[in-house]
Amino acid sequence: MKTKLILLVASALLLTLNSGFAQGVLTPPGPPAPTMKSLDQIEARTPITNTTTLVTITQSGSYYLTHNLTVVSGNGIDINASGVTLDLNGFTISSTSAGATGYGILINSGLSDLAIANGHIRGSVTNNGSGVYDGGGFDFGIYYSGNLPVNVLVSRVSVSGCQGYGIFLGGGNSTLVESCVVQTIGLAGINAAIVKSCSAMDCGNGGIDALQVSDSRGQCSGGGDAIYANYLAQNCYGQSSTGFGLYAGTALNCIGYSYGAGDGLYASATASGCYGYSSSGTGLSAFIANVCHGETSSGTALSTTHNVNSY
Amino acid sequence: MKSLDQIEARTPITNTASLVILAQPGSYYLTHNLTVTGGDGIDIFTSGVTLDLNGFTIASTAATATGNGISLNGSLSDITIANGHIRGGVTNNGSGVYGGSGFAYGIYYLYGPAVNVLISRVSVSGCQIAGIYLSTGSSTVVDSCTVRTVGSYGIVASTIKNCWAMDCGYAGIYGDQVADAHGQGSGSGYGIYASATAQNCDGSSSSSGFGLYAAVTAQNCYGSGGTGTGLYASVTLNCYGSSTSGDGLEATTAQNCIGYSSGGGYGLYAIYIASDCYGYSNSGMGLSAFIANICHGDSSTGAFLSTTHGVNSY
Repeated sequence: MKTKLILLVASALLLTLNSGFAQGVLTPPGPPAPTMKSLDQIEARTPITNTTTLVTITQSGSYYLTHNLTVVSGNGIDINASGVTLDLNGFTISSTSAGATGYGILINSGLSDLAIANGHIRGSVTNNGSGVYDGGGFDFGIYYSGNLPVNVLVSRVSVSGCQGYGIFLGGGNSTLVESCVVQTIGLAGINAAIVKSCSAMDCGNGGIDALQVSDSRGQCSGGGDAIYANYLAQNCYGQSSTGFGLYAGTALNCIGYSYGAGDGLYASATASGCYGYSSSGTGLSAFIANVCHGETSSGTALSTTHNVNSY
Repeated sequence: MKSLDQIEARTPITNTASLVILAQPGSYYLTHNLTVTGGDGIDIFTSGVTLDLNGFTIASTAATATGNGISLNGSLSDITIANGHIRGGVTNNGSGVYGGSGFAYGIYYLYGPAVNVLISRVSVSGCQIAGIYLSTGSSTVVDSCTVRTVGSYGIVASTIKNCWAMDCGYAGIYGDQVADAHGQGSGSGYGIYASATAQNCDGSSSSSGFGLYAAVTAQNCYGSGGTGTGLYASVTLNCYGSSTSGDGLEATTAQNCIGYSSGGGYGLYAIYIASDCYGYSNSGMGLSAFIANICHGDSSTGAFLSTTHGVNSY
């Protein structure tokens, strides 16, 4: 470090000395060097220009879409390298495959240091109204194969109409999903370690599944849990047809609804400031229920070992 | 018409393999991945710098990890770094010994604290000492960053939010105010350490360290320890602490908390007041508090409850 500082000082001295001797020679030394930036400097990242064919990223770098990308089948973008930032640049990745197949974005086995942001992934899978999901497009919005990815940040991405998962990164690793919205997904909406400020609606089997969930909303039509937070849920709303509305280790300021036999809101440890409703299961179940309220039509309103001002 | 310099007014950094020195205030952005063979990637010597990594990666191929991905040199202020990756080749041999190539630190400060620093959306992996290391007790904020496999500290800063630090040789997350974060430490280190407050956090430490330690308050937090305490805070609210053989949860005042020791430690230990709490210990004391208000202690082979003023507790 000291060497660098000395070098800097030395360079500054040289500059001063040079300007002291700058006399006499009036002929310009040559044409002025270009001072304008090149276009490659203005947009240094690598453009992805594909409009209809699979994109494969094999080198670490910073990439951005320049068009919507619509494939006829298979995957949209395969990421095969670590150290990749992919800016969807507001564009949409979609598939016109008649049956849902492939990945909008596939993260190949065991990659790390990835960021995906700012765009949309769309399939055409729909819910027939009875919780049966079918249609074309992608099977998965963003998903990995093989070993779990680590150090992944997905932000400001919307996914709709996929047969399998919306955004699925695996829960036990350093994966963050924030400010993403997912709608009409055959299985689980969003799966990551930390999920924040997200919404997963109309999911066939599980809305949001993470270690920590905050400021988020989940809704699923099947037997999955609308919000499942292995450890912590805060400021969340979950609504499930037959599974748990909201499941957490500890829940604060949360609401859960189950329109079947699942618990409306379940906290294995403490629920504080929470509300749960279940049609035929337990409205709110918590080991410690602090200032909570549970309701039911034909089940149990509140189940708790330690009731603190709850009813 | 606008000129190109008006369209992109910031200063491009075009280095691909050599040290970058920023000695003038300004707004800079990378135009390539930067891979050095030794030493630092980017040295900042001036205040008032915004550095957009532009999605690119800073890496080092130094055979033995040395230097910093980005170093803040001197008593600088007003520094923003965002949007990219810093990668080394350091790995954990599975026994907590970290070694390999690349950088010692991902982001580090030298010669005096740098203040008014914001680091966001940066991932760091495989560094010998620390991922993101700023000063505490001053205006340093780290937001939406992930760190993985570092020999000592994952993230150190005053305010740490929405971050994840995993596989850290000492402490995962180490700050003053920590929220919505996950930290995994090992040895005598902390999963999560907060000198002031922790909210909505979970921390784990593999052996003698605290899973989660908050000097003042912890709210809606989880902590798990090995031989050390699962979760400690002076005031704990809505928390869960567990330990393999140490104390599950320790506090001065605990409310709506659960402590669990699989060994002989206290399940839940509150120096003054435990209110609406539950503690379990396999062979030690389930719950201990000077005042225990509506609490329950439980144990397999040890004692259930110890209190001077028990109020509706058992």
